[in-house]
Amino acid sequence: MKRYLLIISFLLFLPISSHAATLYLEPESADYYQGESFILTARVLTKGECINTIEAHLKFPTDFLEIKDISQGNSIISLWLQEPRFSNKDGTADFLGGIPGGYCGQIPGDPGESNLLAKIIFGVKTEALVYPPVSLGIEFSKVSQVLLNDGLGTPAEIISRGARIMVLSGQPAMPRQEWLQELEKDKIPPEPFEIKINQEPSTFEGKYFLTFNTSDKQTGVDHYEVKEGKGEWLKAASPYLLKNQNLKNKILVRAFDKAGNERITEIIPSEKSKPFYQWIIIAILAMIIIIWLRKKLKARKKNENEIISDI
Amino acid sequence: MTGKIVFKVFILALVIFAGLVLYFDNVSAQSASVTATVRVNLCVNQNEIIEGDEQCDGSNLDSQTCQSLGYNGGTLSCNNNCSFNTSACTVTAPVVAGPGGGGYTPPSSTVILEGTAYPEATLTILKDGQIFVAGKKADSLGKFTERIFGISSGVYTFGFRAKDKEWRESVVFNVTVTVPEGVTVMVSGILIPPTIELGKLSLKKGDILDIFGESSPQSELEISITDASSTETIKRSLAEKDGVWLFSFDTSVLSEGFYQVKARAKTSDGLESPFSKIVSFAIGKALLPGEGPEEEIPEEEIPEKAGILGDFNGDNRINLTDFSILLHWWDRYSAAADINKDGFVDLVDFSIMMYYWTG
Repeated sequence: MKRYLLIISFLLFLPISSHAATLYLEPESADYYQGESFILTARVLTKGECINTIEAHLKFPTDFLEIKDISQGNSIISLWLQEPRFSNKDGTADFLGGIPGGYCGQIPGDPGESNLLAKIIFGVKTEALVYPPVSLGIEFSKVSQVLLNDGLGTPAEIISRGARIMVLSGQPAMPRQEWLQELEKDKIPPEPFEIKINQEPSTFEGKYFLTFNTSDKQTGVDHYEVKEGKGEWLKAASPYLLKNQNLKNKILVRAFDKAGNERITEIIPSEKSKPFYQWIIIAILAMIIIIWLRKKLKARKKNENEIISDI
Repeated sequence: MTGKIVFKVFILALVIFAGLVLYFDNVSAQSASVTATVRVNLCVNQNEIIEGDEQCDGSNLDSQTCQSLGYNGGTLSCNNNCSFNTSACTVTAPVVAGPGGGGYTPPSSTVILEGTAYPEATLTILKDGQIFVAGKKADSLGKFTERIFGISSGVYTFGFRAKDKEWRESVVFNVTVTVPEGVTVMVSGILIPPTIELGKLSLKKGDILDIFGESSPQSELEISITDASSTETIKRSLAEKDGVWLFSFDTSVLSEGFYQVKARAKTSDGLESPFSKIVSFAIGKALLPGEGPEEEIPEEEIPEKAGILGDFNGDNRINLTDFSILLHWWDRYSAAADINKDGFVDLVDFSIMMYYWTG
């Protein structure tokens, strides 16, 4: 019998108050040839301070580099205010999200780094001639923000550390495709999730809308699709305003990860608890039926008495 | 006779009307069914015999190959924990899992969470911000253990929220940890922050302020009282065997103004909790009844109201529904979703919501 057991204890975990968070990229430096793709991970160090919101903006040179995708897989961010987005024209990448209850840093004994924000997948362009090798910097923009988990949204002091990529001349016979390898390994669908139908006076003019959220621990959630009754699958995001407001049909939501694995959850609108006025209507109906039955009984008794007296 | 007919028609119309009202008004959405399946994998005995939930054992691969598991080729082997080792399997195209997460099931892991709250506390455990376990009871010493089987590998944030005997709730205490494939990860030494309450929210200088709550039995409480200029006064108290703690604070040392109070616990075995929820009080004429209206501080400005911040739909929970309302109003003005009342729904409102999150 052999089973690995990792024990992580908080005995050594004493928070140090510094009000500073470090945003950094990993690897700090690397060499790639033209035609290769690589993964740069954006991470955070909190030095024991608890944070709950991260707004990160990255800048990169567009002459030789392009972003192919941004993955949320294995991110500590569980609620995304804005899906990660990028512009290969402007050389920017942005992501914005938070951790409900906060993130207080890595704990001693943790078998992983557990501080990943996002994976940015870069490709080295093949169009331009590279000679001699060029060194390119990828940096966090100064407008990036990290907010403390203090109930007030206090900004943390940010220290940022970018990455330096050396682009080498020529194209290898077998170019490295780090992201493709991750996609090929990913056989696991996104995490199980729940969907909920809501109705709030302040949102969508009081109409019914869906809420859903999940994560994917490998390549990250790519997109969601919603199907109402026999309708088509439609690309969607939460909150999703329902097209069919009478809630008569089964609703399905499916989450796809970047590798194409999917997780489906369904919700069947069911009878809700009856409001007070419905109980009044039911009570009136019951009373009418009772009165009618009593009248009928009385009439029958009267008839029987009349028949007996006639006899 | 006509009266009888009119009465019968009236009754009939009433019945039809009521029937129609009931028919059109009784649909709503309440039940969700998750169609996911996760397999628990426990290695019972490494003896070439597949037992329990073992996928394989030594060289016994249960007649499985890389191809039968959905790969295109390569060599399948068995891990020491009796799970398939697919690292030598090859794939040429992504495999799409069927509805409900079917397809290949990877070796799953187990997480054991051990910690201390308050005696007989009721715990809620969150996984990545969503409620995962609700209503779990701590024992008479405040200890609790939760085992999560069949979890896939990855980075998880487990959150803990405790409700004490007086229904006071703690803030969420999060632990973020990496769970490797096919192993058991035990996280121990979790100390839930204490609950905290104040005897009064507004008082005269020199009044005695009772600060109290529940904590780990016989833990030492460090109570922090901070004024508007961030000057901090530290006081200490000790929790009883039943976890109840109380500190009577003489406010004669304070000047008029608002104060914030929070507390954290330290145990004799060296554990230290994060700080509790922040509660606030005010000292001075400003909040005393019968004083001039020009000095009255609007009630919404009293920070104590912060206990329900972010609960936009009034269900006493701050969860995905409230997050959706915030997203709906993002970067716009909404009286309903602008938590800090600065005229916009922005990052600060989101951060406050994250702090008060209940799942």
